[in-house]
Amino acid sequence: MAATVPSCYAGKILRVDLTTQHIWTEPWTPEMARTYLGGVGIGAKILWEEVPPEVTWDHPDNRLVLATGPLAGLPAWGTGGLTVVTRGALTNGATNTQANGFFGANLKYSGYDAIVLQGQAPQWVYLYIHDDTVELRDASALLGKDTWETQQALEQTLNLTGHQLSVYTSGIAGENQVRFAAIHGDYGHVASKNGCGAVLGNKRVKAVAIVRGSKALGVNDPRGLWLAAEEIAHDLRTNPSTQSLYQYGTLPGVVGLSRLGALPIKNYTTNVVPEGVDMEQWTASGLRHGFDHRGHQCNGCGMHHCHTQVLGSGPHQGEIVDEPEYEGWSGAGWATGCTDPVAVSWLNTQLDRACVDVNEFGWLMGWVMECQEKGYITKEQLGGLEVKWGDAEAANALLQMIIRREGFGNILAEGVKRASEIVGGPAADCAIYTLKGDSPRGHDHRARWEEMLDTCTGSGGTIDSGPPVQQTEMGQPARINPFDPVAVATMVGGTRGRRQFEDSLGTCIFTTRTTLAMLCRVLSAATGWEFGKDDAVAFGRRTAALMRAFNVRCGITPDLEKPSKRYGSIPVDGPAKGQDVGQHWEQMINVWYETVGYDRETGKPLPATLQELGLEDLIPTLWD
Amino acid sequence: MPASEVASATVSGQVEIEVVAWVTKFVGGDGSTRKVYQEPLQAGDTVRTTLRRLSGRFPQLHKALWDPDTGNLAEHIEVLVNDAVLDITHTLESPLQPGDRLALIGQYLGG
Repeated sequence: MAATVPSCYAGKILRVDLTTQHIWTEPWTPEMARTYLGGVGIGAKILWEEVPPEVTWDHPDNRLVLATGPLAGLPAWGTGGLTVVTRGALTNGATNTQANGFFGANLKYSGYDAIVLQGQAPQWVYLYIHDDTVELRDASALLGKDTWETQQALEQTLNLTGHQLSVYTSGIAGENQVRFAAIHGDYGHVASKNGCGAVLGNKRVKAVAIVRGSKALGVNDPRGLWLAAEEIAHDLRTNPSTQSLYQYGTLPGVVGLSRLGALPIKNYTTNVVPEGVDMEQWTASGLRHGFDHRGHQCNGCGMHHCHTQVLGSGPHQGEIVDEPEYEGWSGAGWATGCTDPVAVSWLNTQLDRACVDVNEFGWLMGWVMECQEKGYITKEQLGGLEVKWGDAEAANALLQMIIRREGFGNILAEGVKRASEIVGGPAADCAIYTLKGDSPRGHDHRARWEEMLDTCTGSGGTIDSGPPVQQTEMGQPARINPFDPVAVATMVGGTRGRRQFEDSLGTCIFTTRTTLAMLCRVLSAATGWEFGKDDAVAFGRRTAALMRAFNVRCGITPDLEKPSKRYGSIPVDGPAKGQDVGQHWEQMINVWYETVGYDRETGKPLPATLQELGLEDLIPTLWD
Repeated sequence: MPASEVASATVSGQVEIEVVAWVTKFVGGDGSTRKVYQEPLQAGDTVRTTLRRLSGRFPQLHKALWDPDTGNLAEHIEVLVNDAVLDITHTLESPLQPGDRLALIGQYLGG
């Protein structure tokens, strides 16, 4: 093992105890870097070692890890990545969620690979980082400001603009510990899952402000890195799967998923696009070129993915907003019955500014709309508000109540699972969530069983494996019957590990849609390690097992790995009509457990699995 | 076979193949809207032979649609038959009937 950490690392972890206001750094050792890489790899280690079961999500001793990775800040596409790892508010278990933008690059240029927050500040603060200057500063003037306003205020205070300053904040939702508060930064980049923003708010940290530092990063083989990065970029531009991602980001999802019955419409009550909706507007080209737009790329990225757009009509005509991802078109739109792209785009940016997870909001709002239509939730309960299908203005009015915990908004701020349990009765049967407490991404998973299984068994507050990418490289078939329970579970289990590897590199998942072999080439060139595909898979599976062990220790057991009644229901129409996931659920779960080497009864990784992954140290804690 | 921008009525002895949104890039389109082909059926035609005939006229589609090693579908494009994902009511080897509708949809790459 080399004596020093590879120079693509900044070499230090920044630790901040908010209770005592003590700030210090810990060095990476070469062994730590090689074993944990960064991102969720280092985050999982910290959670396991420093957050015992009694330290719940809102306990001051909970850790909030804001991590980059070995490739962040290097000259490859999408290397501004932020990975947030914590014990989150929705599941009260592990969280692994990403944003991009410039965080990863700016933090490493200031000399740190990760920030670990612990404790709880006596008064509201923001964390200021500029090279060796790291300070907790008074944030009282920032309270009540949304995400964009917070960034603008700090730009003004610090006299910095553009990419000189990254500000990540949990907005007003975080201040009020809304259980699905996110962490947002760089105008439109959101780590949204499992209430990580509620944890930031619980610590009374309004924002983390990172000035683009002045420290240099190095790589072991600059020419090798450059060539590998160029090849990945070429792949992204030319591969049949990724060309559309390169050109349009996630916009093609709406039309594609609608044809597969996987576009969630009106809270899973239908899968048929309403008559009169012009789906040409909803093609990738329609959504991009239907607005005046311009690129809004992340650090070092050549993808034509992130954009801002101008609203061309409606009550907010002329406002500049962030072009929604597929998830925004879905959560702020279709799930709530809103099929006007201009209204959806506007609402999506209100969600970013409020700082909540767009998926959870979509399920919550769809549920409220359905319940009000059916009389399960009254206008009086909502403070006189009528929230009808497709009404983006009313949805925003309710959003503002939620993030301030006003009136019924206080119940809704608990997320759709808890809110539906509080309201109870027939309303409870209409809510979409997992029994763990999190909720799916913006699809109708009744037509995407693999993602429903992944969401329910995931250990990070969202999916663990994700839609298969280059799965043949991991010995899986190019395609499967999406309604074959054995094939689905084998695919989800068999691709486990890839995503945890990606989430540890400090890069964007959209720029890592190449082979693992190529990613390993970049990593090897950067670090000087011989890091191959098998190493990547082993690393990913080890990290996934560590997150799983943490969750088991937190009391998240297999009986919670199920969809809610509505989430697991049978589609009544559309392309997946009649497909009954519930009928096959036990079989899918059994096959998944067998594939990943975990114990079906307890959820624990089996001793043999732990041994194989080099996690034998966990065996006494988990099994004795 | 000329492409039309809108679906036309299916005639006896033909199947309709709709190329949706991004996949139109592989048949000379701009990656949006759709293109619809009326493909004459031949004796014994299956989903596979019909798609092969179409992709034979468009090299980029051919490359994206088929796995060169196995000859089966690659992972880039989903195939629907009469609005159902392949393997629900039809496999690649299922015979087609006049009036059946195929659709080619880009693989989902969501955020």
